[in-house]
Amino acid sequence: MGAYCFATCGPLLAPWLLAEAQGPGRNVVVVLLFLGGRLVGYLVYGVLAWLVGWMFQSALPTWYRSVFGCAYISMAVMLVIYAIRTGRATCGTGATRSAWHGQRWLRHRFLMPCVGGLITGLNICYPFMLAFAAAAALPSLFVSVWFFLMFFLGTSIFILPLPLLGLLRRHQALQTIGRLSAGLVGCYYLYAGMVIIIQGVATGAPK
Amino acid sequence: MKSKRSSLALPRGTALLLCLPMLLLSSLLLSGGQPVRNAQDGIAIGVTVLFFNVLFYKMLSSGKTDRWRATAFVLYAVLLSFTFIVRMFEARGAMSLSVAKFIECDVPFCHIVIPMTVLPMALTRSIIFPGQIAGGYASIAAMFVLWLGACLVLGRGFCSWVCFFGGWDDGFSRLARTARIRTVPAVWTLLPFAILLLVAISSAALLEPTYCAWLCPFKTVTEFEAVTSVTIFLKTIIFIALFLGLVIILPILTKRRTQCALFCPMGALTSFANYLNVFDVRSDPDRCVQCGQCARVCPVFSITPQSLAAGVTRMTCVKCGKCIDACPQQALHFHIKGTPPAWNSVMTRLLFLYVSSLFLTVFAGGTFMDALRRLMNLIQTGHLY
Repeated sequence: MGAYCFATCGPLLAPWLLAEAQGPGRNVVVVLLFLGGRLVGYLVYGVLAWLVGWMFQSALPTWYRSVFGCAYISMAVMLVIYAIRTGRATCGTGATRSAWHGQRWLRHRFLMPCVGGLITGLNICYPFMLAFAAAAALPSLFVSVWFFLMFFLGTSIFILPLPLLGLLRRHQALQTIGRLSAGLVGCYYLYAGMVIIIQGVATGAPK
Repeated sequence: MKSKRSSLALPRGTALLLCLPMLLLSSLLLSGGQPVRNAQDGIAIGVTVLFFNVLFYKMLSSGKTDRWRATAFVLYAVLLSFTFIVRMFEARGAMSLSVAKFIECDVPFCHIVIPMTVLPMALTRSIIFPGQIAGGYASIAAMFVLWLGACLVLGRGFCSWVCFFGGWDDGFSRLARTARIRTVPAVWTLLPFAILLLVAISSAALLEPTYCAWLCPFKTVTEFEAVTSVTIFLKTIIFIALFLGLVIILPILTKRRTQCALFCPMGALTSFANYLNVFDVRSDPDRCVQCGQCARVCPVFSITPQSLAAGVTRMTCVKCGKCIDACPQQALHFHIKGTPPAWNSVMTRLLFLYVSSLFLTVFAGGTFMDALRRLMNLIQTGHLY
């Protein structure tokens, strides 16, 4: 299950860490922020699972997924803008690079991992569905949230080695590869988000 | 005006004599060491052996590599698609893959899937491709072993001597007399590595070979999913557009192998094999005048002013020999790692050509013989199979 989570979060986190080209120490902060966002997502689900169990429903309404389609598209837009703009910054002169990094992206440098973590945390994948079904059967809100907290801890272990990508930061080409990958991942999230929204609208609009 | 004779060219007698080992080896390998069963088989083996040995002789006697290599390489790609499609019609009655064939695990494996199977294999101990592990046509184990062997011996030379798709854009890149697009931003040469990173991880996340499912342009000339849904229709548009763009239009406009140089994740992975392999391409600093002719003709953007100044090619070099043939100073040559840059260039080239031509002959030879047999069958019976 953890391996699956690594494979789900890896495409988002690995390009980001490569493109930022920071040391392992700073990457730990980024990964912790990412995990923080993911934790918030899971805790939200802990509450929802309890609510679903309480209401004796077996599944969430279909239109509910459209919300996450929108979240995916937001993430995609952020990633694509990140890929294009940091590309311009790294291609530009030293002055434009420092101005760019100093004035704009410094603020978002911490926002992106948090948002990324939150959105991947809210992602409905197969291991997650299993966990959700199990949590919905639990007797109280506290136990349901606790279940998701443990689910988060168990699956996060597999993400912890990612800061080691910082050891490769001296390779300029890897930054470019990371940036290009971020753009490609953005395109994928854009597609996935649109599919979720279309499916949500087509199969079950809110009444 | 008579062109300058290459210093790598051998006298005809010597070239003929040096062809003998290749003739023996290729005959043995292509016939499988078995006596010829019938006249059709004999003709197929004979013509194939002759064809590849004539090309090998021409490489030795002319001192030029790329022209003769490309003749076989391009024909190999075209004939592979031809035989593959015929085989699919023979087995299934269509080029398209049905869901039933997926369930039966009856999908031929190709080397481009390898980067997508490694991570899922490590994480789930299963192969995410619906092919056969061993036996049958293009099995997974056979492809893995052949790819690993070729990579160890040739490095990324695999992409110029062994890959059965590379000949497509190689061929189209030779059609125009001059390039309409002369420069491509250096950043795009790193795109295959980004795609490699993405497909390797996304295949593990989705437990499907994402490049094959969504991006592989060569599905246009081999096989593809039967269009039964909007998603598959979208996939079909994507891979046909990529084939038209990367394999036909851009190679004609740039005179480069754009699919191999700017897109293929397998090429990116195979680039790392250049670190393990003993052969590379070097320039002799005493002869090089930095004219940049080699960088202009390199089909995969592997020569830059920086690499030329350092006397080396980039890790993405496919060892096609085009730069060596084009160099007016004859400063570039095949090189064995650990030896001085200009050490015995004739002998080094000969060693490389023996190995690479043998790989090309063995890999392409099977396809050539299959195509010849089918064409003879067509003439005799009016049917390809």
